[in-house]
Amino acid sequence: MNGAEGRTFAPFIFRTADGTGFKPHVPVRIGVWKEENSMADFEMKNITKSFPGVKALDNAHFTADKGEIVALLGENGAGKSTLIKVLCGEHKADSGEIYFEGRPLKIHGTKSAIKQGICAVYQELSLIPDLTVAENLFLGVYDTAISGRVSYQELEKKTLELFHKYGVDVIDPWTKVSALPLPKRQMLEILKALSKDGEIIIFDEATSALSDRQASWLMDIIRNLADEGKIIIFISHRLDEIKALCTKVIVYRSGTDVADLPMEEADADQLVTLMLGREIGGYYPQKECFTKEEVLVSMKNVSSGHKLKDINLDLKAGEILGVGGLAGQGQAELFMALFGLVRTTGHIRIKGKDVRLKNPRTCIREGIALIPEDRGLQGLVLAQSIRENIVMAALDRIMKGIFISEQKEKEIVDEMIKTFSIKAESPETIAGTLSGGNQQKVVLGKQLATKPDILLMFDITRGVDVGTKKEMFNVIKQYAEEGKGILFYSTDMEELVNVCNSIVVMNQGKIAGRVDRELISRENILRVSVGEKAV
Amino acid sequence: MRFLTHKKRTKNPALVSVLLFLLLAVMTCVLQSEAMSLDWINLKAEAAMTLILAAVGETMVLLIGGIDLSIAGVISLTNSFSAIYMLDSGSSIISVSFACILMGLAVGLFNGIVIQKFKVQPFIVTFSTWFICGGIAYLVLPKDGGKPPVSFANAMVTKIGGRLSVAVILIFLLTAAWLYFKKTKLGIYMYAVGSSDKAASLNGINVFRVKLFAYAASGVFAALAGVYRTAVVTSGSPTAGESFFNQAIAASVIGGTLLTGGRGGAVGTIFGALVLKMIADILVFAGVSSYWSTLFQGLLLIMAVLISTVSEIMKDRKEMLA
Repeated sequence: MNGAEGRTFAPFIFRTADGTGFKPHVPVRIGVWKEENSMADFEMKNITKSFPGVKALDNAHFTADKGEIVALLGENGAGKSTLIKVLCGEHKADSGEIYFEGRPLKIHGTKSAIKQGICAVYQELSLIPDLTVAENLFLGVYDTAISGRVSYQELEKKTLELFHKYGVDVIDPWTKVSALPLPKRQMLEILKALSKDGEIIIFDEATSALSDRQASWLMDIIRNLADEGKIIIFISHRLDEIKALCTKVIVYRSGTDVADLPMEEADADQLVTLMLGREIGGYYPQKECFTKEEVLVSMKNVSSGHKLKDINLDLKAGEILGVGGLAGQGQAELFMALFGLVRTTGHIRIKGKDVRLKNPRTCIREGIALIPEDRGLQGLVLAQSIRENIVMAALDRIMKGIFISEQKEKEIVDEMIKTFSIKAESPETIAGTLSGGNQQKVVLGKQLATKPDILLMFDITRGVDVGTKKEMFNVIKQYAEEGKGILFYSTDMEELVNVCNSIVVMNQGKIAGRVDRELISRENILRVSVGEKAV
Repeated sequence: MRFLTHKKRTKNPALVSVLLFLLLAVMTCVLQSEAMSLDWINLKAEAAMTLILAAVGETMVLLIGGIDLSIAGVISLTNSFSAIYMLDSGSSIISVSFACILMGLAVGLFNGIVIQKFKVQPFIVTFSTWFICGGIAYLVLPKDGGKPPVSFANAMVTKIGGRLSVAVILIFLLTAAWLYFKKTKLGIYMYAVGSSDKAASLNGINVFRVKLFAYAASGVFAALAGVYRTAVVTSGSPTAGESFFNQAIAASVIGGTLLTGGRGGAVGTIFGALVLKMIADILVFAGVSSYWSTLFQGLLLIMAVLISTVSEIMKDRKEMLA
């Protein structure tokens, strides 16, 4: 927008000698003068959106200028996702307007949004598992030959160019996406959005499955995009990331915006308070050690294919044992091995007894519970109620003869709803209608209803908001105090450092080393994973 | 965990049906060596053609994750209609065939629109249209009969160049057309929608249109099947289509198409249909009562499915321990 007809100055652009110019990350405004109805480059105004029974967005606003990296913060269920869906044309707002460069934007659907330069990296991946890498990257925007066939040579060329342009390790363009591990798929998801060359780019939990190295790669790219004058909307639950990257933060609570401030004016505690609408004391619970002598799980020379090699590991009662290392170094397989999901060689002893963990059922009987990352797919039956989900794995415990004892059932369900403070109208609420964080709590409740002694927690906080995370950490601590053994994996190293008593670091399917109590720190985990000693 | 659900799927899903086809072909050669000739191939292709047309249409709907029961009704309707109203003149043959195709298209569009706009399950909607079309077929032609023109029947069984019948040529054309279509935008979109319609929509694909196309195509193919049957059988029947729904699904599944969508294709289906027909033939030749052939087709179906899933399970295990 230019100053003559517009009402604000665009962020100042420094001219360099060669005339290319660059823009500082923090917009520098010189002589900003705002009139009554002055406008930012991008504005969403008075957006309201209701779903049956819920007002997801209530008169919400969102503004951003070109070159800004805006953090969109809020608890799960605060309306962030709905706002993004309205912007991307997935939902139609009941009322409200959207302006870009002063002109109203009319968005009639996902295609129309993409055409108008809005693209998004989705939290729920939008890749089609049955199509190949190249087919996925340019899905919806294929070049076709005159014959009507998609030009595959062109597609391969463009795919390789895209990898090259953003400095990504080349993935065979003709592998099916279903054959790729999660971090690679998330990279593709990001590349796909970047290839659209949009003006407004949304990153919805885009870093949640990335390793630290990949995450810093992404941040560099985001900064470059902002330098080019794009508007970036960045959603993440990792405050440290937001601090490091964003120039401005907008906080949502209960369907509307409650704060819009420059990053340098916001501190972490204040943001958390804004998000929750109340004070939250200390993000992580005070660390304590409840480790006892009794060994619950003992693995001796356990191997599985080339993914797990010679694992020797002891998990004691009351211990919170973290599993660290770069993403995809066999952590997943370790968890799968302990839940009977992969075949293994070697010896596993549970509570001092030699056992063969041949399937999940045996494992549950041995008192092992797995809490997986992907709640929609593995953990929950979305069409059933909270009650049905919670007792599903624990039916043995509530049977009275051949019937289900309603009283016992109620006891368990109430206990779990209380322990995890699941927010729902009643136990009969359908799991699919809950917000993401609450769904994850139901998964936890469901696993713990079997009263396990050994808890395998695999990245359970992925995509979960701060309030819920805090509750989860408290519950973990409480279970450790009760003498349960907990194996804890997280892609967020900060969590490992703050939650675990000890951490085993994995590298290429092997345990590279172990970091104990006082030595636990990000640096030491990295050190061990590259083969050095913790100091 | 997400990695539990992804499998490497690089094997061509049509493989099982092609292998079965070759196996049965060899068996037929051994058992009926005196019968093997170009004429015989022509005859068999003609016999299988109605099913092939119906099944290819069904496959397209299965690919987008739907199901179309109405093909049975459409086949009955178009078969009865063309048997009654087709006169012995070029213009009548063409206009009646065209009218039948339009009927199929209309039913397909109706299915596609009602299923998506009113969010009714495909099973229910196409089940109703099956009955509706079947009912109209009874009104048009209460009893088996009708006298379709001989010239039409002859035209459909002409030998091109005196050797290959129209049906054989059509099979090749259909195969080629599918291999071509599969790599067009619409083709890839169909796989994408079938694999996950939500993800497809996030990519800006017009899911409504893609699904509508699949149902419309299924209707048109069913109509073609009905008209083709008129030529081959030279009569109409208001119940002509009844058995085709089951068989079309069977052919698709043997051909490697998943009922959950996103995987498979028409080439496998064509081979699947041929396999179904051949097994019936072999049983007849072996002197087994025709009552047995349905039973054997059922066994074949489960076998074909098991072959593909077992090989997948074995592969997963190998990968795990490799």
